[in-house]
Amino acid sequence: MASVRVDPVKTDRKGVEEMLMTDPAIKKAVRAEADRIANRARELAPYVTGAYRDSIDVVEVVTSDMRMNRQIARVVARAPHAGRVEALHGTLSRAIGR
Amino acid sequence: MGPVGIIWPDMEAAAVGYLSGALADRDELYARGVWVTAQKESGRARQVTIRDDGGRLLGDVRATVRLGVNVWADNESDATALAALVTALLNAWPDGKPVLRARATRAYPVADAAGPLRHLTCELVVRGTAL
Repeated sequence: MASVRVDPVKTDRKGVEEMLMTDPAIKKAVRAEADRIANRARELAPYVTGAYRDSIDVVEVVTSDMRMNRQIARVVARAPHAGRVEALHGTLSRAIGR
Repeated sequence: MGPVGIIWPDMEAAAVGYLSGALADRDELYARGVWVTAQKESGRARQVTIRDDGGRLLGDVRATVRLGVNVWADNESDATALAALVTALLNAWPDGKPVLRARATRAYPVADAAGPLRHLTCELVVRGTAL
């Protein structure tokens, strides 16, 4: 009976990390998803003066969680009362959607 | 798109039921008489409110559910302690019926609230049932 030898696959972690850090297509996709969530959050935001809604922003950062550096984007609300709005309305949480 | 013919559980109601029972079994003073509900009720100092903030279908019989949890108490230290207990109870929830996984965050104090308030979120993976 014929047999085939399969060598263990070795992941090039450094190569994967470099791709996650520098690939423009990944950066563009991450930014697009963050923008979608931020826009949805602005739609859902309770409106009194508009300060909370206008403080919603996207921040591009590099994180090293999962033991690998990678570019991510965070949707943030910078208004001083943003924590209270999130507790009472869940605006950012609900904006994630799907 | 999710599978056709799956009924997803009402996780707001399930969380209210689970936490009500779990807190009733606790001996800590700050956990006594805690009212667990979906909508905040006036006249109750110790309350936990649960809000379903959505989630996504995972393409089979599972879905993620994001819960927003508010913990109200008589004073700041009880609010902190009760929120920590609620976090631990939520993380201990997975029983397969229908919760498969739970990841609750550390609570943060909410400024400018009407009383001592802590907020945390909890992401669940739950199993639906076939029609």
